[in-house]
Amino acid sequence: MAGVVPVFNALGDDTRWTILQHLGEADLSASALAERLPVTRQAIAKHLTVLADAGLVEPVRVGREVRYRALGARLTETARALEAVGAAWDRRLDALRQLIEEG
Amino acid sequence: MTTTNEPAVIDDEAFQVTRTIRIAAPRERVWAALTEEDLIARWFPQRASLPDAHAGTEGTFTFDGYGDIPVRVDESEEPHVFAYTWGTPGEPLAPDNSTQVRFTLAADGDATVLTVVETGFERLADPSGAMRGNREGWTSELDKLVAFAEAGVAAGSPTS
Repeated sequence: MAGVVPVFNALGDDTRWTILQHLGEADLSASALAERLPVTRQAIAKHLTVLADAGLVEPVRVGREVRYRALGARLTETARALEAVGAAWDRRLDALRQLIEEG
Repeated sequence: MTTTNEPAVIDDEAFQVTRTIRIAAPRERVWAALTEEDLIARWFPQRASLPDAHAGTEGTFTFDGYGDIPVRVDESEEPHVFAYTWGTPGEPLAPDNSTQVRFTLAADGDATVLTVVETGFERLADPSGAMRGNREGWTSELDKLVAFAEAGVAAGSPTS
């Protein structure tokens, strides 16, 4: 489960989640994102740094422009980690339930 | 006396990592620590081979567990600018496996303001990952340079 907290922190912000959803549809520059969101370009840049630090986006040079690309792998890996924890908790609950029902 | 320096920062748009720090040591000492192989190995890699600090000189920095990094000095203007290209262990220097590191030194009384700018990440296979790694690297390694350079000053021996 190493490194999930930075992902949670990155996702735990409405603006960052919106940025990620936009980037999930298309690679976009910081300027293009600023046009689509009610946030300053400076704030967009800070959000993109947090997302890049968490491995959720990466900068990609396209000609003279830099666009950001959403990376699904990190999200999938985090989802798998959460799923494993949830399944372990449910197994424990089932075991407890069985104990109670048996005696 | 060491003041707390800010960590290195990433500029994703420019694909570069930078850090500016203040070292309570004279510029000559900082220059020596950056360019003399015996001194480099006291704070940076475990071993350094750099015969001299002239443009065109080639050498290696060896980090335990990582390997021998090829280094080529690009620019050397004592005591203001020292720049090199460094790459990947086991591979000759090429555009897609190397980055540029440029140190500029400014005197500030008895102290030195040192700036490092590392560029060229956009040519690598994983630019973002490499920048994140080197941001941590420059933060921890330059903190060690500060400790080394300032300790020498405290002990009163300029080139030991």
